[in-house]
Amino acid sequence: MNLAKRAEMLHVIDTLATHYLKGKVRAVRLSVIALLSGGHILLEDIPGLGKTTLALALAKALGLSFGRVQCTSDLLPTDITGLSIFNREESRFTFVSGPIFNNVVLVDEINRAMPKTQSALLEAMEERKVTVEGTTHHLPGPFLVIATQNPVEQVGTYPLPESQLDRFMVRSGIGYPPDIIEKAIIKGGSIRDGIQSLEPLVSANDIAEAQRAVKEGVYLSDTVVDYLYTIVAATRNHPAISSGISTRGAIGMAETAKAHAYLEGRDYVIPEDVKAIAVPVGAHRLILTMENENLDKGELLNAVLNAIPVPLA
Amino acid sequence: MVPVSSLITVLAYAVAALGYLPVAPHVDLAVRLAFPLAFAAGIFLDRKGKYPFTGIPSTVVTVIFFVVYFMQLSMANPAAPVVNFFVVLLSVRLVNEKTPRNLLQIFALALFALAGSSLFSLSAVFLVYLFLQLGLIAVSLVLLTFHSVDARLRLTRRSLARVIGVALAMPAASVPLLLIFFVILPRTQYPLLNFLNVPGERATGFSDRVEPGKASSIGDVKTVAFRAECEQLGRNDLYWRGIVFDTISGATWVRSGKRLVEVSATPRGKTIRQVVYPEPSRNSYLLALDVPLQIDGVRASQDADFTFTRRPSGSGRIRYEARSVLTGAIPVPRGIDRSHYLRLPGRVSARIAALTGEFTVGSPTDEERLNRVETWFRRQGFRYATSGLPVTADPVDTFLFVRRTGHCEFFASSFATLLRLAGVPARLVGGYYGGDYNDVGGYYAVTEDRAHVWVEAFVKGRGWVRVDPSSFASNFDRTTTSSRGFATKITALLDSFTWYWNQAVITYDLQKQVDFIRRANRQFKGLSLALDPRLLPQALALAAVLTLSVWWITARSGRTPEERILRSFLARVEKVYGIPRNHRSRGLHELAHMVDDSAVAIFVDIWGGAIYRDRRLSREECRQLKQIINTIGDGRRKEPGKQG
Repeated sequence: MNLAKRAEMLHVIDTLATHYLKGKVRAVRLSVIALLSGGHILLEDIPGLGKTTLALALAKALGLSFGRVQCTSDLLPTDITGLSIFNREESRFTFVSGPIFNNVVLVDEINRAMPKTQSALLEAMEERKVTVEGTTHHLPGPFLVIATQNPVEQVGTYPLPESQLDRFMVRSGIGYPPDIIEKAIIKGGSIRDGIQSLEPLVSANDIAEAQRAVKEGVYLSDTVVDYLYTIVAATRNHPAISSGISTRGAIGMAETAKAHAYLEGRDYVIPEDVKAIAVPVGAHRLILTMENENLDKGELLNAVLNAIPVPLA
Repeated sequence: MVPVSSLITVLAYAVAALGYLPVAPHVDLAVRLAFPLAFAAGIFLDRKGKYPFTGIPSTVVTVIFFVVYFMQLSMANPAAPVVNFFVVLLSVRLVNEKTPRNLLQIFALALFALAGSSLFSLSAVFLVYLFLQLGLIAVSLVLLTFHSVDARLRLTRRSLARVIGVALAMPAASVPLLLIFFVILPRTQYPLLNFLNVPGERATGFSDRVEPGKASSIGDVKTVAFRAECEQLGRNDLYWRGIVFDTISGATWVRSGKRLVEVSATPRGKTIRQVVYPEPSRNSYLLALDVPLQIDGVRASQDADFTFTRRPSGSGRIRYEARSVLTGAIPVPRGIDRSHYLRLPGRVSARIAALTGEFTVGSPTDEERLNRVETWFRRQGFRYATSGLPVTADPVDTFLFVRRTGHCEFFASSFATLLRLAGVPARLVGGYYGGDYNDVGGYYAVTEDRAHVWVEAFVKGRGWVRVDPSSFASNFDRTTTSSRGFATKITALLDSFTWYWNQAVITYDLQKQVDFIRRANRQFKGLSLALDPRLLPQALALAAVLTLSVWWITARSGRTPEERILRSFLARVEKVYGIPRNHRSRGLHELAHMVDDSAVAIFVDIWGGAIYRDRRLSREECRQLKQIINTIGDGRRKEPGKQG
């Protein structure tokens, strides 16, 4: 089995989950899955549960550069991408890159930015390059955007339209930590300082190698593709869903299922991998019909999954 | 705190012992010894939590004993092998793990064994055993429902007492009901809900008077009048004699109150014994094949004309044995009171009287006169019918000269009138003619619509000769032959069921049941399996079709070795861990996470490594997987506490 750098990746998850991000193992794992499959993650939860800490710790542990964008309604696209300013000494415009030119970018409260800014950001996420005044600047790899949004707040927000939600590989909550862990966190206080001293556990090369191992080393069988397609097709034919998982969504599910299998130590994907990532990868892509808008998308997708037989042979 | 599982186990041992003790004196020595050994071994193994005999050893023992006792099974010895085998099965169950399934089997087998003991001896102790066993089983079953929800459930003494109280209330509540039904059921001779209707009030059928010309039609009443158990006879012998009408009054024939002193000699002919089971009715005449000589089994009085009347004693179901001689004539060597049997009705029409001359010219003998009347009667071409009948005050005249159709009463009364006019003493005999022979029960079922009236003419030298004028009808054959279609067979089968039910349950009587079993035994002994060689190809073809369809079904159900392995894997997991196999949206790895069993995990890894890599299992992998399946659950048995 050729699962290069798997041990290192597990080490990152382990270290973060046990020492720095207690009780957030699921979010950490999903972030790593998003990173390995080359996607971005949207953390949807109330403030104060450690979304920023998670992004920060992940960037540190992965030995990657970290940029942060705090979204407000007056944030301009150039505040993210950067802009050319006139250099008086050299008598010409030089490009000053924005926070997007980092490996890990935390976009806090993305739904507070104006749609124009949002779309500039999402375009950069998708294309992995930024064009400013005719010049195209490539973004560094590996590239992981961790966006957060507060689902409760309604005033002064510009909710991401479904078409843009589709661009996030993974959407997840963080949730409150278990009570014992939370008490320990309260007692120990914020760990931001600890994170500052966190030494990188892997290099950018390791990450690239792991990404390649996921992409090329994990086998996705026809059986599992059939299963995956059945799920996708079922969401498209479901009476409560007006538009189901897109082809991009299906690709995303396949990629993340491979990353999941990689972390589990298998060089082939099993239906359970698909089931494990289906809700974080698929649920936010569902568009419900008007009368069923209040349904929980995750539960709905789970119901769809429970009705589909797993191919056993 | 009392653990439910150990309580159930103790109860199961008690129930098994209660099943064994009553049959112990009747089983083979080896079996008698095997049970206590298994009992002790079971307790020992339960303590150790190890069950070395599970699976193949148990199956082998069971199969061996099954073969041994199956060979011993015969009609002469039907009970002993079965009971022996029950005890063996019970012993095997005791040494194995007490899973809910095994426990239920123990309860059932113990009950069967106890029931089997009643085949050897029926003492009142049986009831004690039965009530004890029922009580214990009721408690165990209730506890078992708790056990199936949570195998490690423990009950406090108080809640345990409540559970046992409620569990015992169920059989206790059913006992009075049971007793009431036991008292009521065997004694009811009629369906319980119909007891308000007086039985035997039927519009048509057998009656104690012959009144032609009173109704324009008679209906077909297919209710059974009686059933008679006897050998199968020819159609012409099936005259069931009931009543003799010797007096005409107007157009009505009745039985005179006058008892004639008539000494008949014993008729000669084939003697037939019948056991007759009449349906309840108000009619007090006992029916039997013509000519009945003797009727036993019921208090009855016999008249000189072979009419048997039942003495009134309740109106329940009865059963009697009759001995009859099949003959067409009853000899009366000392003669009869001719004038009594020559008495004519007050009014005889001129047309009828005019016929007399034809019959009597030349002072012929009785025999000759009878022949002349018969010949004349035959020539007329009368038709038999049960509808469109004349309603008239002089039915004989109307029948003979106007309508020329009628049923047996018209035929018989006209013929008898003619005979008396011709100077031949004649009387009518009422009863039934024919019957449907039921091959299953070996009896004739005679329905009400077979009620019949015929004539007996006195011929000097021969005695009373039976003449059936209805047989002179031009359409006689058609009216008496019955169809033997499929529906008739079904009816016969249902009827025989009713018959057995009446015999075995309604008229419950131990002596009768013993006879019944003996008779059944005789019948089965006489049963030979003579194979018609012409049927052989058909039988072979049928066998081939069966084999093919079985092969086809199995081939379809598990087409590939993979599917077969998967099936047995899922079945094994279901058996050991109780995880239902038909949960289709669950993957195998999920299954492996649910159970803490390395064998399952290894199986799932090997399986997934092939199936989810789009390749088939290699031969080596198949072999390996099959081995792994057999080891599933081994770890669990060694460490029962591991799950907790």
